[in-house]
Amino acid sequence: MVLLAILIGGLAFLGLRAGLKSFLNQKEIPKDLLGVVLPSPRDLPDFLLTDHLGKTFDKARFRGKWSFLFFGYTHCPDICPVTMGLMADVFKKLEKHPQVLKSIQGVFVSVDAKRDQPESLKNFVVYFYKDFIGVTGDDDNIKSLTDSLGVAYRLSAPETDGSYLISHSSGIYLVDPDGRFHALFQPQFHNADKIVSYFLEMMKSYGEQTQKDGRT
Amino acid sequence: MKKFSQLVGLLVGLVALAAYADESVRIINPWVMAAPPTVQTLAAYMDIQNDAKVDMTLVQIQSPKFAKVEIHESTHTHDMAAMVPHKDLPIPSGKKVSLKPGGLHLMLINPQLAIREGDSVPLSLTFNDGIRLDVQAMVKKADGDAAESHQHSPEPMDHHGSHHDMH
Ligand SMILES: [Cu+2]
Repeated sequence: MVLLAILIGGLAFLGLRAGLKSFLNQKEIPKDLLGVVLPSPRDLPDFLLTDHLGKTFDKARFRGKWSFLFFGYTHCPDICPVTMGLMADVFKKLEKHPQVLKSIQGVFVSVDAKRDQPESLKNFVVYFYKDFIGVTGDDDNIKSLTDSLGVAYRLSAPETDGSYLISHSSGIYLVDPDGRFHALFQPQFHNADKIVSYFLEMMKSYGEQTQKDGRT
Repeated sequence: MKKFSQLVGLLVGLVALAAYADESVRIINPWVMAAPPTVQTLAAYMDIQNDAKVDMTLVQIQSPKFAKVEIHESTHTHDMAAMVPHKDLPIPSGKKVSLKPGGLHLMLINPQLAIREGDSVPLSLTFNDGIRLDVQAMVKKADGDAAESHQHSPEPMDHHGSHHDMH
């Protein structure tokens, strides 16, 4: 009888502790994710762009998937292919988790509207990973997306032959399935294993949060 | 066939290396980062070792496969990546200068024909004292760690990152 009381008491205590713990964690960002995840996700404005297949790429394309975004240009032979290769490594590593792979998309957004047409983007993105999406469009629409994410880019003064270079933010931006700016992997986090483990953790706490909010 | 051309490229490269091993300046492991065949720019990397008693300067690079070749450096400041062209590249006496992804590179501009993995790209490097080194740079994928080389930026963007660097 005493034993039973202790057992029930113990179970109640454990249950209470677990409940308290999850209550305390509700708004807390896991420690590992500080500096990567935004304190609170940020809504994005409307924009109208075109993907590498000529289809509309607007805010709705972010719905229901985690989107990994990188901003660059195809005339960039060093940082851009290195980062695209890194993003491809992340996707290849996530092939081990088919459920996760189904819920992510990799997007290369060109900040060189003049030179990057959908056709050249197609050859570019698919080379790195078969499902990557290339996105381009007019400057105003690119700007509404980049401004809302804090992405900066600047064209250099053209040389005599008209060629120019572009300096640009080189982080990997993460938009959540609600279409909100959720996290940013700055260059010092650019390691495929690191991004995979952070992302899985992020997905998990997002899932828990969604459940708590009573959404499906 | 691809294997064969790779082998030839390698041999040519080795012969070129051997021929210049006794010279004052030499090129070690030249390579070009593979990219989609449609791109208009590629990047070549290598180590340049100067065993001479005097400082040298790389002043010009040419390749029959490209309209022009420039010396560039990728830089990272406040999360902005940029390429800065250099008009020449000093190689101090007794020093080795490394061109690698995320840093110094030879920017290969406007290929005459599509460049694919396994191709070799002839490069002529001219130094200030008139020495010209001809090398063949193999086109290959970056090693896995190349992707990480640009995370070591000279000025960290924030200190949150520091306690994550324990891999
Ligand atoms: Cu360059």
